[in-house]
Amino acid sequence: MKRVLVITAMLLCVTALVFAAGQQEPKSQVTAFSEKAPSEYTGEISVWSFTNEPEYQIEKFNEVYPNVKVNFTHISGGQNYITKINSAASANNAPDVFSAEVSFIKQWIDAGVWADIGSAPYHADALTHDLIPYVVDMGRDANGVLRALSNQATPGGIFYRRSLAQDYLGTDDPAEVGKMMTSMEDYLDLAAKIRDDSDNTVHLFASWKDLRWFPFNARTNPWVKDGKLYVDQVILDYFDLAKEIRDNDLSAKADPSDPSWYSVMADGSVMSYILPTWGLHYELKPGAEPDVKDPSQYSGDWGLTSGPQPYYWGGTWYGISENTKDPELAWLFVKFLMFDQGFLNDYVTEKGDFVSNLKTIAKVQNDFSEPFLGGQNSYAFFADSAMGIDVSKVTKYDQHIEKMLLNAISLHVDSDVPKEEALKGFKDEVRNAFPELTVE
Amino acid sequence: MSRNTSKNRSISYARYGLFFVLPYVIVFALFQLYPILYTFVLTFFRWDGLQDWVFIGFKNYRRLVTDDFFYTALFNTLRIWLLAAIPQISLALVLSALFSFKKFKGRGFFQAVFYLPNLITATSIAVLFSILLDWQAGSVNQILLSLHLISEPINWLKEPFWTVTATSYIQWWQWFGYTTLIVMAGMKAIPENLYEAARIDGAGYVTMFFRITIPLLKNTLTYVIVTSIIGGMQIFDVPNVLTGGLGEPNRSILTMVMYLYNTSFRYTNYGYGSTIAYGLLMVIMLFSFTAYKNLQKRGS
Amino acid sequence: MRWKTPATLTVIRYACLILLAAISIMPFYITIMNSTHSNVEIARDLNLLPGDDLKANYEQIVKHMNIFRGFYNSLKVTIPSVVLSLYFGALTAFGFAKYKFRGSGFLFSTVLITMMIPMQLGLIGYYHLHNTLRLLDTTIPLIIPWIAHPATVFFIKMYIDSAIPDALLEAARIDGSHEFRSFNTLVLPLLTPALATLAIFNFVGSWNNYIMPLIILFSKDKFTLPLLISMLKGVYTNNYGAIYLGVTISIVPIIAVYAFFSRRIIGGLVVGSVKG
Repeated sequence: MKRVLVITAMLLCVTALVFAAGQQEPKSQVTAFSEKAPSEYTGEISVWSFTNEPEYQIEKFNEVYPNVKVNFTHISGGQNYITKINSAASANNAPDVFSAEVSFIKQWIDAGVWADIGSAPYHADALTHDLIPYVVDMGRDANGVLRALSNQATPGGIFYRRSLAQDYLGTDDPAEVGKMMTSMEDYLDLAAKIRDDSDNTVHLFASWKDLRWFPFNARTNPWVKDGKLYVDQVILDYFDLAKEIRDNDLSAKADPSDPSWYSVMADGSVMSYILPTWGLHYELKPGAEPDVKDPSQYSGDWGLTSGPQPYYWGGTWYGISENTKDPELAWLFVKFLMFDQGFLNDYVTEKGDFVSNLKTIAKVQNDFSEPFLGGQNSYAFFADSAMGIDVSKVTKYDQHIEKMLLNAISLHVDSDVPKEEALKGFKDEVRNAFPELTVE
Repeated sequence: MSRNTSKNRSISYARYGLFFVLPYVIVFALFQLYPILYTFVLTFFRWDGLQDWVFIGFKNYRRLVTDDFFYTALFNTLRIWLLAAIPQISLALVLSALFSFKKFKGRGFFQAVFYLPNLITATSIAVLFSILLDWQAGSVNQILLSLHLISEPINWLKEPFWTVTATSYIQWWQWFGYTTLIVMAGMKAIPENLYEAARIDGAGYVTMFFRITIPLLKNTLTYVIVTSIIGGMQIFDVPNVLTGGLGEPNRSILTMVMYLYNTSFRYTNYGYGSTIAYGLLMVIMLFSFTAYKNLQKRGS
Repeated sequence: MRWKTPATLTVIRYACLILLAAISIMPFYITIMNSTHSNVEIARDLNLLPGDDLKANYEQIVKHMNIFRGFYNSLKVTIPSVVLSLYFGALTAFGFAKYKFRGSGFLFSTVLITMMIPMQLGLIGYYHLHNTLRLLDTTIPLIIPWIAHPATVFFIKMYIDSAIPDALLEAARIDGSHEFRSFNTLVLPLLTPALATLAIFNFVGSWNNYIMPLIILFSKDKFTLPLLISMLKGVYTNNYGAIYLGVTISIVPIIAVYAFFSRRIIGGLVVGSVKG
């Protein structure tokens, strides 16, 4: 009996502690930050991210603002990062600035862990017309409040080997090749042709999974609308499409990021890869020509063209903590990443990555030339496709639902589980993970 | 042999026992009890990790008892554990006996090498195996194909049967050296004169092993089996990395800890995740206390 | 020598042992080989021979971090953890094994039950606790809890039960030895094989611990090796070569500790003294 009493008392104490820790501290009441000379900004802020990109950014930032100390913590492995931020945020202890990947950004935007940077004292909304619209839209919550911004945009295309295109399609011109791939039917017909012409030694693409962005972006409904799961016809068709691809040897059977995916990338047995802006630098260049140490050594055997469906993939957004003690410096850093022309120009020349700032894009896109792509102007290509991206259908459920769906299709394709059964398994999984959703 | 005196003594010295375990109890209460109780309180709430806690009474528990996923995960976990633990413990016994009874060349080398798989983190090991087990380019398939043991590459990580087999194998491989080490430490505690006596009576190695070693290893084996249950029921890293987190194909290696981890951290349902954790705790307690009682009773 | 092993049996025994040894060494070997290869080579093939990217991988590491600082940080956490876990583990186990005080049964059950609690779920509460205690970003939460390490207590208790007879303590009492002194001078030395075994396990456990320091630490100059190594994971692709090199570097002290302590377990095994 005494034991029960002791335990009950302990439980009460714990509960009290937990709720005491949940109290919010009052926020600062500044309405706008005054302009100062760069060296007059002094103090310290903390920045956390799931990539090491801020190392470069902070280096550049300190060249302009030498008296601001930025303490950067890199936490890798997506889920660990999310867990770490969530535990810090739930104790009102989040870093001043922290980033999110597109796959988990909505979770934090909906929960309001980031400050409203659109209005006072940040007034980011006065500057956002300089950014590619979808990048800004992604950072808004359901009420249109702006909470995060990205210095990148990540539209995608189809990268192809020019020599193989020449052999099997008769041309390596991006416009001509693009014309042959305007619909999924065309793309699959082309795959069949290449399979036949090469005696099943060369394939148009590595895996049915590589094609996922096309059906995902062709959906007319968001995955979740008004608390209900929507599985569009294009998604149902994707089951059959994937099966058809596997059964008819239309792909190289090498799933993305599997070891074989990289080996077919390098040995030239797969013609095309469906990748976004960053995929060029982080996947294709090191994967296809791993021995190249200097850009001038690239063979230039690759081209970039548009596929059946515009899409985007990935992206890193930055927001300012609701509880930051130094909103001025936090904003100074975020503003620097998004709008500082000097920084962005350096970033483009030194890293080649695609930025979200329209002014920078306008400046570089006319005479950009990518040696890996045989001098093709990938910047102009991505600038075009970035303007057409629509993120109105993005929900916080997307990454989870898409992962479950790919598993279900894989079950149908790899383990011969009937489509209906795999689909039912998918819906069970969604229902179980998100009991708040209606799943029919 | 006076029962009385020894009882009296243990009573008069009892306070030392409390004194000896006190540091443990204090540190435990300070650092470990709080997270445990915090988790327990959470089981009565709905919480996404960021917004306010919502009290929902016993709803999470009601969901747990009818949750098919929980039972699937329980079944999967048990299956992996059985397929790994039985060969692991048997092999550990055989190896320890071999190392203890026989002096042969390279004995020290083998003893040392078998523990190596346990030194690298499970995550690194799983990454390594997912490369080895790749369907088209993996070395395992290439070796099997070149030996003509198979005619088509096996899709190790996409077909449930092979995925379960591979996971259990990795689990076995990672821990057999560890188990051997423990069993050997236990064997060291067996007084040498028992073997001497047996030898004089003309007993062979096999007889000595079953008549002396096994019965006297009772405590060690209890430790091995109980911790194997506890550890095995909590298997997480290897299946998590091998599958990309959801236990695919067809949730065949979705383990209990993966399920609670996904529920809490991936789908940010901390209340229900905590409830699964307590469900898991009940299961582990049931299995390990049953094992403990039975093993300690036997032969005593 | 009454049991002559037939030659074929010896061959089979060696064949089995060599096979087991091969699969045990394999990940080690591959890890070391991979540390000399580039990202793509690792993702694409099994590398059985050294490559020529060791320097590039090393540069990749030193560019991002001070790995030797991480080494030092890891040692600073691991060594006290192991010492505390062994000493207090033995003390606690001794208390449970040899004294029947009020509530000892209940407390020992608590020890067992704590082992059964999945660590993953305490994480959030663990963070809140150390936030309240103002212990975040310090190494205290990574060291002190080892005083209460249930598996250590359980293991040593099992060992004491079978290796330390009550008569030994009785004898010490008759000689006038204080209980605490008996523990330190009489019992502790007798526990050497168990302590050596646990020294290895706990060293490996603390050295490879990733999730707890991840939750507790956030200044880079306090990061332990596993945290630093995980930072080598790139933006969208992993820096496998550098990661493997980091893992290779971090294995060295584990091997050293293992070599040192394993001799204490294995060396001079009971029946080993019997000339077979």
